[in-house]
Amino acid sequence: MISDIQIEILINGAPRWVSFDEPVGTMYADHTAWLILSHLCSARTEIWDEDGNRSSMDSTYSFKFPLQKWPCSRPLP
Amino acid sequence: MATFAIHRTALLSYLSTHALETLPGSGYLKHATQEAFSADIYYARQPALLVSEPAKLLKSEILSQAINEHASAAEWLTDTASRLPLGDIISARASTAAASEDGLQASILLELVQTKPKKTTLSPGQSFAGTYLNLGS
Repeated sequence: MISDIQIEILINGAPRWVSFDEPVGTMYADHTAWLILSHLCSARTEIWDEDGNRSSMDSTYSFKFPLQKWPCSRPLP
Repeated sequence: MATFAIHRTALLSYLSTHALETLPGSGYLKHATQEAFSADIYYARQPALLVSEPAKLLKSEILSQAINEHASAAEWLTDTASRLPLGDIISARASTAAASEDGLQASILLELVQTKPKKTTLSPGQSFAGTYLNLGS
C-alpha cells in the first residue's frame, strides 16, 4: 500500500504502481473458517452436541451464510 | 487458481511410466521443472479430482485432535485449509466424512462458526500477497 488510492505491485520482481479513483478501502481476514462452513450448507449430515441433541448440519448452518455481506466462496481467476 | 504440484518420483510410486506419459496429453497433468532442485514435477490440471485424498488425511487428523481439545482442533483445521489449494473444500469434505463415518462433535463446527471473518482497514505500508487481474501475482 502506497496510499489510500495507490498500490505497488511486484511483477516478476519489478515494481509497478497502480492507482484507483477511490480509496482501496477494506479487506476481510480470518474468513477460512466460514469458507469451510459454506461448503457444509448442503451436507445431509447429522451432528450431536455434548448433551446428545441431534440436528442436521444443513439446517443448522444453511441460513447463516447467505445473509452475510461477503462472498462465502473463494474467487476464481 | 492454486493447484497441487507433485514430484515425478512420487507419482511413479503409484503410476506406470506409460500412464504418466499419457496423463499430460489427456489434460490431467502438466509437466514442469522445479528449478530450485532441478526436479521433474507435475501440476494437477484437475485439482478437484484430488480433493478426496488430502481430505482423508485431514479427517484422520481432525478426529484424533478432537479427542483432546475442540478449539485447537478447529484452529488446526482452519490453518491447514488456509495453506492448501482448495483448502476450504478439502476441509469441508474431511468434516462431512468425519461426521458421517466416524462421528464429529458439533463443538468443532461451532468453533468454526464463532471464528467470524473480520473486516480490516488497509493502511499505507502494509504488504500483501495475491493475484491482480491481468497483471499476475
